[in-house]
Amino acid sequence: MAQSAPAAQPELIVDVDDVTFAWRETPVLERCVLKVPPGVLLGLIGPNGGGKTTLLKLMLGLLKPQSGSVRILGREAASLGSARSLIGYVPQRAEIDWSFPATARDVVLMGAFARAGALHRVPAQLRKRADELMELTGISDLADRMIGKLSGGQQQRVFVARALLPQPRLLLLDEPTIGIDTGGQEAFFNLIRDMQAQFNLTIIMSSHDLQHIRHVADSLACISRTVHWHDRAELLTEQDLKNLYACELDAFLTHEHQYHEHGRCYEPDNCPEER
Amino acid sequence: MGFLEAVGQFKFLQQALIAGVVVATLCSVLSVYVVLKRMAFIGQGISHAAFGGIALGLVISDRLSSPEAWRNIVTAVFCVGVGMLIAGASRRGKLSADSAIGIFLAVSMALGVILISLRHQYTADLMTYLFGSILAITVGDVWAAAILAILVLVFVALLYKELLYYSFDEEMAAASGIPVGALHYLLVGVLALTIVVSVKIVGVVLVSAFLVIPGAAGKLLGLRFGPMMAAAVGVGVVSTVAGLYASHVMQVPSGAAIVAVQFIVFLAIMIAMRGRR
Repeated sequence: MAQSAPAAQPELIVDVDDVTFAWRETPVLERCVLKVPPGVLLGLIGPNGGGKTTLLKLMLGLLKPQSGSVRILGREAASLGSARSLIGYVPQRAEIDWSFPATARDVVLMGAFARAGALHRVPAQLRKRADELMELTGISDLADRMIGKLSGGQQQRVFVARALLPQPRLLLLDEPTIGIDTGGQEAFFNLIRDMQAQFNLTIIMSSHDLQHIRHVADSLACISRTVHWHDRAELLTEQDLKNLYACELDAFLTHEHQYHEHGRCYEPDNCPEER
Repeated sequence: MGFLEAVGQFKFLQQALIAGVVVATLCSVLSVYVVLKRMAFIGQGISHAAFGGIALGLVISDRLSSPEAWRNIVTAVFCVGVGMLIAGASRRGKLSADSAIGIFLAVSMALGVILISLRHQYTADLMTYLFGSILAITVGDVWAAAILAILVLVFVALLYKELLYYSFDEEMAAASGIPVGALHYLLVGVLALTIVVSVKIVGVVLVSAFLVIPGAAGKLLGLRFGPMMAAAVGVGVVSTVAGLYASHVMQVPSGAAIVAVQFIVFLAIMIAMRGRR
């Protein structure tokens, strides 16, 4: 049964509506539609360069779409102002300078800087919350270690604690398990699920690891310049996955639980017929 | 005559020492951001632009009363202007940042040489501008450095956590609502003014070392951000006093002597820290 994206509703956490974005002349996203209701853990998958990170940056308001709109909790993402604290963000590990002179606690407290406001110290209440989050994420013993001295999994927990400090409603994670061993990945996904339940979060997580994310996510969106929506991630069959990798995203369209808009194929000869 | 005796006797040495320590403090504090934000080439670009600014200042101030004040004002405006162009290019220009800086750097130097050549007047030894001279420092320079130092320290203290977050990860800081664009331009503007007041003692060629070596040495120590900044200031100030001493004793330009000492301190820290790993 073909499934279309849910219609716009006021309670949507993320509403990406007909968004087109290009880096200079190179199109990255074309007419993307993505509606994310509260409480969902949405996995973003797709080929490298397909636009996953760009889509997350549009949601963060770091980029502005050339056309269409990105709304977070009913407000334009690019002009959220102080409501930015409603979004927690864990960036790709490769973008971080791990030799930076800061301890794990220093990094977690950065999550409170914007809320504390210019010229003000981080208030005691937020410092206490930082300690609680470090306890919850299992890094309180490491609080005074330099961030670069931690393992990849521990560093990601520090970043999750930092992202959760301003009490967000939406958590965005960009390829959070790259560089983490398989056991660490599983533990990290469990942590994310725990945090989602505990703080009533809506989570959008991009991942290159389809095998893992399909077991964690409630639904999947494939980003390959356009959005292909799949609302029952766990029902993907092995054949679907093989097709997906053989022909990037358009093979996805053969599955019955799917949403397709403006699909595009990377290897046209291997692709199933487009609808 | 010993160095301390000379300092007690000669006003120019006292001024050089005060200006040197103030400039070293200023540059060392900023060097932490320069090192962590990888802005060394931006500092290099602005410091070379200062040569063009000085030459322009010389030409313009020739026909004005109080030429020295005007020369400093013109140099400051020129450097801040070039700094803003470089800051803009490094954020969203169509050229890559290093190409843009390479162009500004060379063009500013060329402009300086052309203007000085066309001046038809005696121009104080070019070496003074290129490599610094303790003889060139005036009371006005000391005051300018002191006032700027206070402003910069207040700027860093007030925006400490915002600058910390911006230095760690600009994108995360922006996503959380820190105005990273404004911080970037402010930091480059402060860097430009610091370079202008530092040029007389250090010279345009070597000032970038003041903006890199103390911060790099501080980072080697593996400390947290605040202690790293304190260590950088320590390295900067000790090197400057020792360098001025060497400059006086060996009769070599002050900027070169200070940079040589900074490098020795940097090497010593690097070797000591390698032994601890």
